[in-house]
Amino acid sequence: MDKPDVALAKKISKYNQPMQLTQPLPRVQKNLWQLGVLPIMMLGALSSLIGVYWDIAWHIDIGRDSFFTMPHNFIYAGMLIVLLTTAWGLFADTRATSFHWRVAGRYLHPGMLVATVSAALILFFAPADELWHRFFGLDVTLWGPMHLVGLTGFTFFTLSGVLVSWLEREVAPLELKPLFERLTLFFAAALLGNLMLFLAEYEYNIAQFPIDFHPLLLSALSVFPLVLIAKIHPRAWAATKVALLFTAIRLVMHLWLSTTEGMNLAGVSKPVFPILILTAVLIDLLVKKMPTWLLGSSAAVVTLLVGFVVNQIFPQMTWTLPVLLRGSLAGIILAALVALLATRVARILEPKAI
Amino acid sequence: MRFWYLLLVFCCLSSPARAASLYGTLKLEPKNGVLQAELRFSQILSNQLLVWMWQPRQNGWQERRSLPVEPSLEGQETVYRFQTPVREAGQWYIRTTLGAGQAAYIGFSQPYIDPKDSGSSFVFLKNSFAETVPAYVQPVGYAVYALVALFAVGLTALVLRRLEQRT
Repeated sequence: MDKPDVALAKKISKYNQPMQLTQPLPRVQKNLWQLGVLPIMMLGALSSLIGVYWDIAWHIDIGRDSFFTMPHNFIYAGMLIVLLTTAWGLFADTRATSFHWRVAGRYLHPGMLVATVSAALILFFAPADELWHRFFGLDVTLWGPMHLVGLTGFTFFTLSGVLVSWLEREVAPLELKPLFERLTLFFAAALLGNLMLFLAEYEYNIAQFPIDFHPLLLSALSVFPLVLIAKIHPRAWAATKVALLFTAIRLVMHLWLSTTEGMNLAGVSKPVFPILILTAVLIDLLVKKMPTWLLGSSAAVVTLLVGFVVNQIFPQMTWTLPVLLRGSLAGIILAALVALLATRVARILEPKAI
Repeated sequence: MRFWYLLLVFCCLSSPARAASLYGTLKLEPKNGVLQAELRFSQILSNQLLVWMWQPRQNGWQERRSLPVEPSLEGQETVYRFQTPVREAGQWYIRTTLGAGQAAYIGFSQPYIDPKDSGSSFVFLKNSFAETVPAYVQPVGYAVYALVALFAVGLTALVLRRLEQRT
């Protein structure tokens, strides 16, 4: 029997020892999903949509009894959490990517800057709206000046969600790119939801402004998120997925309104929601085949046709012929311009660096 | 800041209020299950009239019909005509809105409508916002909103412009 090779055994045992680090490994910098900012922004986008529709139902059937109603508390608490999270995210995100801005020795994420300012705008709107009502009484329209400040804040907040998730995709490793692509779809659906929120008075059938604005804004505003996502997203049927997700969100909201009504925590009014799936299918099919302005106008025509059919099935919402002619013509022209704007934004968001 | 705040409050309280009422006559004439309605004002108006009709027993305002009605001029009078199906006798709520948003005149009547009988009633359209608030408040409010919107659009445009320049 051979003698054991002591020298070899020593060598092996040396290699079996845990590795001793001579210097610390570089700290892995977390992205905004890992920091927890994007999940909170997702919840914020969803809760703002549900909260505002809940609030409108409350105002219609119960009234504006006080500032601290349940829907108000729901919206403002949600947006306060979002504001704190996005403001923290601005400082916690220490990466220096191609899109971060160097300001006073720090790197700021531009999308997070828009998100923080938008959330601050929404929280500014709460006391401003209360003061407005105390000074001037209860105005009965969603398009009152202070209400519009809030709606604008919600819209830019969800647009910032699209920017943040899309920019994160740009610098994410390959295995994380699908996550950020899905997040971009979600925020595009939330953006579509917030743009449709401007039409809530028509959806609830309590219009305070001429009905002409309904077909006009419905056909024009819906074009922006759908064309934008169809232009930037690498996967097929992106606009259709956004329209389906938007429909799912509206169904969840309907369920929420029914549940709160059952618990005597909301009014009985429910909004009729727009069907935009066919519009999105058309955009997906023709996005690479026709000029942008024509794509926008064609999408508007489909939205108007579907809206007209829905109008026949649910006759509460009456688009008369003069209303349809005036609103549609303006809507088709505006949709062409909105599609051009969406294309311009899509070009800016095209990936520049991997 | 305190000065501007006090100036705004002073301006709001010192300016006279706008006209706050309109009067019209609503004629209702049911014919073969359809209610023919006519709202007549003794002055020239150009706004679209929004009419909401529903019955109190209906579950929720989503049951309401909203009708946009265009004006037609007859001499110095403005007439709005609209119709809606009525199958059985009962209490109705009719809400009429003339003008837009906070500048709107809103009327509310509760006629008992019988598909066999005609009737008429007096409609009083009121702008409660105009009763107490000076006329310039609404334009100033929208101007403030325009500034806020401009700020939001400007910030986003700036962000996009900087993003465009990234390498």
